[in-house]
Amino acid sequence: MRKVSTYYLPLILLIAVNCIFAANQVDTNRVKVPANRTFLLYGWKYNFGDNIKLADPGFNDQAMPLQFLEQFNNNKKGIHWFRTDVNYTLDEDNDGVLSIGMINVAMACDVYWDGVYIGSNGKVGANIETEVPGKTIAYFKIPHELSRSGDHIVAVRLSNFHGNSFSTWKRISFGYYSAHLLEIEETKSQHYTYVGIYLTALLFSLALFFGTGNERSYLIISVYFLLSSIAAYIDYIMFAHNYSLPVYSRLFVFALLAAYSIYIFMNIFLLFLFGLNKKTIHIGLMVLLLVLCEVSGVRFTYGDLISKSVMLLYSLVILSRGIKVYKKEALIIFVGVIVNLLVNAYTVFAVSLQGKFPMLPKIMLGLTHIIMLLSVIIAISERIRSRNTMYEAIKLKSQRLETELLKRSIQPHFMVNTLLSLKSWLTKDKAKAEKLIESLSDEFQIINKISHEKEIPISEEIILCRHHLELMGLRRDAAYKLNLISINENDRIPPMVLHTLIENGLTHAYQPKENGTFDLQCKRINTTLEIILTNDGSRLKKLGNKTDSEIEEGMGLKYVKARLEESYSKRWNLHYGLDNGKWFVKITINKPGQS
Amino acid sequence: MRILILEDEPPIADYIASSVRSILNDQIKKLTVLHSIEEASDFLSSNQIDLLFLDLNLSGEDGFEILQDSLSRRFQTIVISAYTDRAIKAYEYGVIDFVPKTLKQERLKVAIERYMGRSERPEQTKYLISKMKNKNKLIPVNGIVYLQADRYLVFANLESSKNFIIEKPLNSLEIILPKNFIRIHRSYIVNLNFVESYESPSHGTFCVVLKDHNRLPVSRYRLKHIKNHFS
Repeated sequence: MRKVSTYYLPLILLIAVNCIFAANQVDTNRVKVPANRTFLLYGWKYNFGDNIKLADPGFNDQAMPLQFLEQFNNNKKGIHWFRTDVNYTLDEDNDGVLSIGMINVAMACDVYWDGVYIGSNGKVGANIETEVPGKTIAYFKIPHELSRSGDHIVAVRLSNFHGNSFSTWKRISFGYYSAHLLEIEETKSQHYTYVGIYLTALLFSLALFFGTGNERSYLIISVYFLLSSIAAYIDYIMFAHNYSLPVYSRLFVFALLAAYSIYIFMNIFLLFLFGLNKKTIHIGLMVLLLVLCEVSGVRFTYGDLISKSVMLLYSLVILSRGIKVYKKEALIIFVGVIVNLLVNAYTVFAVSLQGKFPMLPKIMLGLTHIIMLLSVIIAISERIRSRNTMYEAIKLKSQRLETELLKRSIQPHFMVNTLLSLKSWLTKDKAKAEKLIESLSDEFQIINKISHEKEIPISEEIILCRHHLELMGLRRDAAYKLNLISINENDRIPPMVLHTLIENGLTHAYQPKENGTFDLQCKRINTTLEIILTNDGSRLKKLGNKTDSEIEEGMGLKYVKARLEESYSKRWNLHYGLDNGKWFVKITINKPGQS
Repeated sequence: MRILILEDEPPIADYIASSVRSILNDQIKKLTVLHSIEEASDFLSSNQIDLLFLDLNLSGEDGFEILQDSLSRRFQTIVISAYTDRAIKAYEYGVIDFVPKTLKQERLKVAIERYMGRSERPEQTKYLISKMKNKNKLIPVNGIVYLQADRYLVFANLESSKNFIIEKPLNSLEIILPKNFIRIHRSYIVNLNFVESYESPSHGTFCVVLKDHNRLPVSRYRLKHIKNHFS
């Protein structure tokens, strides 16, 4: 957690400081015009239908309804009028040209300043034939003699016959002409930077995808980064090329689709990152929520802020589930989501107050992108780190099993007992003593060969078992046999699994001097390998009908289970018990890809 | 001497038997070799023995349960095992000796000497084992005030004034109990930690006064042990 706060605290502080700073500035139509900033104009009064009198500053607009410019859409086609007043004071040292800036407002417009026509974008028409669409971005310089400090009236005459019903995000701003140009340049370079950042992230995530054995969550986040860079690029070319408004409207549809896909892909990434199920249902729900947002028309007032917030809230739902297993990753992304949600909430609030409350500086909105990106990358690094730790742990476990295998075969008591038997046979029967030495050395040679293998051919394990049975026969003065019933010599199993089961059988099932027979049967049913080992020992019969869980498991069985788990994680099964008076151990292993 | 060897690997059992024979020769009245617990309990239900050589890991069974069982009996036990890490616990339960399974003849000889009381045994007994309703009860020796023989039985009298029956005779107990337990009488072993003083109530008779003011008789020829303790 400390690591997370080190990354985020400075950013969160920066946002907070900016909010306070921004709040102290006045951002309404009553301004002292600075040299390098422009202001959005609010307080628009609206009229549907053409009436040139509306341009006249003396016109009484008290009866005209207020209209959010953001909510103005192309559903109603015709000629529209907007007018508002602006009051400002100029810095006397600055004799720059003032201007009105328009981005994506209807299809064509004429602009009037204090009743004086100052310019057009395209040609306003009474129908689709006479309308000539203008450019996405247009500036209207205010003549010097009309731009003194004080009250002024801006009136805009619009027509929208070429418009489609999707296009939103429109603005009319006021400020020095140079400030308008500067702002466009800044926006262009900002979007261009995003394209670069997202492409870098795309390369990073693709490298992860191919480098970590094609893990799907990395592919999904690659798509997320790709879409983000496409969206940023569309934003860039909109400003860079200043297309005609109908072209912009069509491009906007792509930008909108890209934005919605981005939100969905972020959440799909989270679903994969946290390994949650029912992904299709989640995706369906998200699409439904986005459609609801679209149908409700909130986009016309708040752009994609609401749908984005809904998707971020959905991210929180996914995180709340993911946190159970992946606490760190969930917390890291949680920070990114919360920062985005707060910024969205603030912006929605500011928009709803129409200029009575300052908007966040553009740089802040950019930072939220960066924070989201950072949280994703940090979470991925965290996942990789914990994967590595897990991998190390598995490797260590594997080494422990190898050590366990060696320990099992050279346990001091095994060696001591074998040597003592040897001592005894040396005085009683030299031939048996020799045989004992041979079996011991044969057994050890095989163990030495297989100790570091994860799987060995079953035929090799059988040879090992036979040497062990011979050796134990000499130690316990009995004859032991291993019968093979249907064995496929190519089947592979972890080393010393059968050996351990046979060792267990000898220890627990047979009385000393009691001869014994083990039967080994291996069956292949599709991808499943079934191994059954039975013994006819007299001692285990007294266990009667005890079930697996009633019999206390010793070290041997624990070793066998650990080996199976290491090689076939959760794809194996082990049962034992009495069947027809014989003790059996049955192992089933599912080996996909083999049959 | 009646000896039982309980070891599940026949060649090793044979080896122990021949080693014991070569040490004790004609002192052995009867030597039996068995390989399983079932055989041994059958045998012990109808035969008396003096000394048991016990393998601590018989056919994968928990050796200590069998050990406690044999230690609750009248005979003495010598453990033979490859699991030398279990020696301390075995001593605590009162085995005569713990012979590691390299089974050197000299080491086996020491164990037998200890059984005969001719050689000192490590003073590690922490429990005596009493059989109650077929269950083995471990009695911490430092809570025992004195042991009293009554015909074939021995009673361990505890500080808590409870008493338990111990099947071992006082002679055997003398060997396995720590040094603060001394034989003061044909029928008594006392824990010196609970003795306050000694006195002579009448000419020629002696007794020890316990901390709880009870008195136990002291034989005249064992009086010197008490006197040594108080001097």
